[in-house]
Amino acid sequence: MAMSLSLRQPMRLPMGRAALIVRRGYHEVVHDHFNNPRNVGSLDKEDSNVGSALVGKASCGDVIKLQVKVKDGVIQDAKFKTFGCGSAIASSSYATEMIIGQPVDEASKIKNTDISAHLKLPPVKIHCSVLAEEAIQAAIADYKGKQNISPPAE
Amino acid sequence: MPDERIYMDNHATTRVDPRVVDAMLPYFTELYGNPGSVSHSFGSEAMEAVDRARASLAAAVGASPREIIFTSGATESNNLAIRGVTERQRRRGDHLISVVTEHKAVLDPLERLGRRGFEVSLLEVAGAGSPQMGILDPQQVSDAIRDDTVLVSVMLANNEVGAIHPLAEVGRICKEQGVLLHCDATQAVGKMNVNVEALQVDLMSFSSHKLYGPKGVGALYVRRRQPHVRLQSQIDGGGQEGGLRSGTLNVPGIVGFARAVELCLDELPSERARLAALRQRLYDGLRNRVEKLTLNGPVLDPLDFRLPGNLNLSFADVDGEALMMKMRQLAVSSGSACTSANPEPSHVLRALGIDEDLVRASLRFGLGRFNTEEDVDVAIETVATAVERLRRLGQSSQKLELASKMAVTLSEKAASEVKRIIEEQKLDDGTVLRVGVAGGGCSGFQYSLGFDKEYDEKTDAKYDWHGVTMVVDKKSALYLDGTVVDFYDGLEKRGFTFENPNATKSCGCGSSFSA
Repeated sequence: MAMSLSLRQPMRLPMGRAALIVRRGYHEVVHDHFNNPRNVGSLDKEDSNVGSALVGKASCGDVIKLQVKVKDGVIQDAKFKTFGCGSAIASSSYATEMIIGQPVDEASKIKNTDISAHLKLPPVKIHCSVLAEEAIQAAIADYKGKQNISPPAE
Repeated sequence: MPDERIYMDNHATTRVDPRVVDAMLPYFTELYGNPGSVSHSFGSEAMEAVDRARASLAAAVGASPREIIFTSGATESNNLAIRGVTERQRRRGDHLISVVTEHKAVLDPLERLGRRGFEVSLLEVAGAGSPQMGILDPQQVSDAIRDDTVLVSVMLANNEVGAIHPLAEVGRICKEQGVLLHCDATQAVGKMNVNVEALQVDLMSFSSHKLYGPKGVGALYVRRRQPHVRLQSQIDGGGQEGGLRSGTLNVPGIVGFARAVELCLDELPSERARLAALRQRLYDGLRNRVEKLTLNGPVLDPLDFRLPGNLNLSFADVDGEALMMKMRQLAVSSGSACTSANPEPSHVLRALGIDEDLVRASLRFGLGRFNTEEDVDVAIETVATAVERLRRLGQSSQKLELASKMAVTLSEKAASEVKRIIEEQKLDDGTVLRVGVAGGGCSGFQYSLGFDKEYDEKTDAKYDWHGVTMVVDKKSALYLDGTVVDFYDGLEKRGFTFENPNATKSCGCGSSFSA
């Protein structure tokens, strides 16, 4: 019954080989996206095939701008600019990488857990992946709005 | 492979000086006795070493040897001082005074006492814009002392912005009022002259690992004459240190601690000048290379406002954590929320009234004994390149764009109250209601509400609610998205209220929140 004394589970420490590639609490994948961010930039906001999103959170002050360019129902290109911490930048970089080449309907099914699992984000950074998910949703909604595509009935 | 990393985080901890290690080594394998074992020579050898160290440390701060209590470090010393005094002297009263920019090792014990019925007054320091930014005005201590004040605790030098408080003046005031004064001198000892008589402190905490000594050892100075300060011990057992701190003495640590302090004092005048010059080189170099850079804390000159090795800067439009990730070869620290185990942004920088965005964009450089001019030059290059790259990745102007989309609502009831006040006070037709948030308050942010005649559509978001024009500056709008400003007219309370869905915690007074 000694176990019941500890109310809070201690954080599990990275073990073995994993410990070698974890630096400052981030997985190497985060460092890779952070140091070599994919698809940084902007698309033409006025283009009717481009959907733009600007999302932010007051709680952490991070802001993500994400744009998608759609042709024949498939995301041809995506660009982002992010003001925020390392995992916000990595989350948005990975998000653009995921959605390029995907049909719009597929991309709108992406969940924040898909992003956080790939980047192996620590619990305190999960909100960064939530913000990236919101950015994808908002960009697609903006594109659909321009195309007068009403969202599917619930 | 040579270590190409550069360590500039000497406020966090320092490298142990090899001369200190040499002094410690015999006490591991040869002179390993327990100083408590008085009946054999192993014990007495160890006791003699501890006595010598105690005498040396005492002399270094102007105390007598019996007034030095060895602890595990400054955190323990602070806890022993604050809890020890309050548990012993409760008869005098329940009031404690300290400063908002103190280290958590002082604020947290005070907070615990606050929950147990003590009243804690935290004094403000000079804010952004003042050359003495971060420094306490001693008059504040004088104003805050009451008949029931038990203890005043003021640090000598701040760990984040290096601000040096006028402790001698605070000491004089406390002495006049007959109130005990505790000083956390962790960042100061070894970096400047510290003398307990000149400062008139009654208790003083300091630590070994901040001055090129080993970790795990510190000291508390406890005055024994005029007045004789009595403490309640916090760790009981073998009765070591006059019963105030039980536990076998850390002999190698204590020997190293004393040697480290001796070395610091020997080299003090030349080292202070050298560090100040290095810091100036770093500051000038960064100012030349990086735009939009601001200094946090007191001015660099004169030297007695600020620790010579401390530089705290904010780089607008970047995130401190992201900046540090970009500079993996350079060890510094940041006031940004995400850099330490503590998810809150720096309470010190917030207390100085520094804009939230600049708090998260801050870096603290702590120059020390082993830093060279080459280190500084590499650091300038590293920081400048990293800031440049991050600024290209995302601009905070996006934040302002985003802010204009944020909704802040004024309820109909609140609007009619606003109209009534405008009419009653005969304010001009163009009067607008200005809503905002600022750093401060008990939960980090504070709401502000007032009238204004002017606003700027570039920096303010404008709303029309029920015939009232309301403006919110865009920075504040980010923290107020979805907020409803209402008016409450009840029996106990009458006034404007803020319902903010972004607030994660707010305090009883209702005027401040955390997001």
